[in-house]
Amino acid sequence: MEAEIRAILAAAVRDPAGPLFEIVIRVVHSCRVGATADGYNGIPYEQLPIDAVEVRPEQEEHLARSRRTGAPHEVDIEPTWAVEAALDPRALVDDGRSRTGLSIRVIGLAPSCPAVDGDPRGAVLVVYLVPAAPPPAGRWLVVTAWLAGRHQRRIYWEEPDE
Amino acid sequence: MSDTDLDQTLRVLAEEAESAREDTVPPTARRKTRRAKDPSQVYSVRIPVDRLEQLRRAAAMRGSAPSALIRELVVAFLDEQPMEPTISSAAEALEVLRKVVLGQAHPISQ
Repeated sequence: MEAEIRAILAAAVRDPAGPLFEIVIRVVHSCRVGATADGYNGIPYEQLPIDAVEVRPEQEEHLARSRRTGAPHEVDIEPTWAVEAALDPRALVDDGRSRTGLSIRVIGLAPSCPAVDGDPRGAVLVVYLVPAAPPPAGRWLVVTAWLAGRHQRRIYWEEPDE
Repeated sequence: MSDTDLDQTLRVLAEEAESAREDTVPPTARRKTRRAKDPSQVYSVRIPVDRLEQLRRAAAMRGSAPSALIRELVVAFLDEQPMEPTISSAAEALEVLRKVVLGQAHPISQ
């Protein structure tokens, strides 16, 4: 059964604009699995295990933002920075308005990433993750990442720990 | 799911995320309260294809997975590296040197 589900998912992602992709998204939503407003697979975001984070080689290329987009204002994100931010113990986590409900958004600190405003504590990053294994396994893959905006940085630093 | 399908899934999700990029934090965002247990970073290492089978066999002989063998070897190597000098160890070394220079201690006995 699992093999069939994997085959359907694989076929769906090959055509993100196609009807099968839309059906898969609806099924995911109706089953209340994946990312919802409150948590992932029913686990509240604040308790969601994020223990091991991997950047696949293809995503390393994706994180090289200025080279990929040709936009000089884009900052290339080192894979280690994305991992640091994802593992930040006081990161903010939500669904990142994911339409598919497969990924989550983490706003966390990467101490080894130079901050644009010269903050010696490092840079706050936005990192999207997708499970490498169904939560609560705690293993995630980096989807994409970028430097957090001014508002996100302010919320990250000002929001009290829960 | 094959590696190709996984990479395709990641591409689709990355496009989805990039298209929703904005400088906001919804009220539903939650601060982590659960600390990672032994947090680890998965590090991609390119191994020459002609050595992969050798690696798999070596791991199988030890009854472990190739990734576990790689981790074991790297950690063992790091454990063998000399400790980083600290302020206290530097001060201690200076004190020994001072005594040697003053003739209060034999260099070999320290």
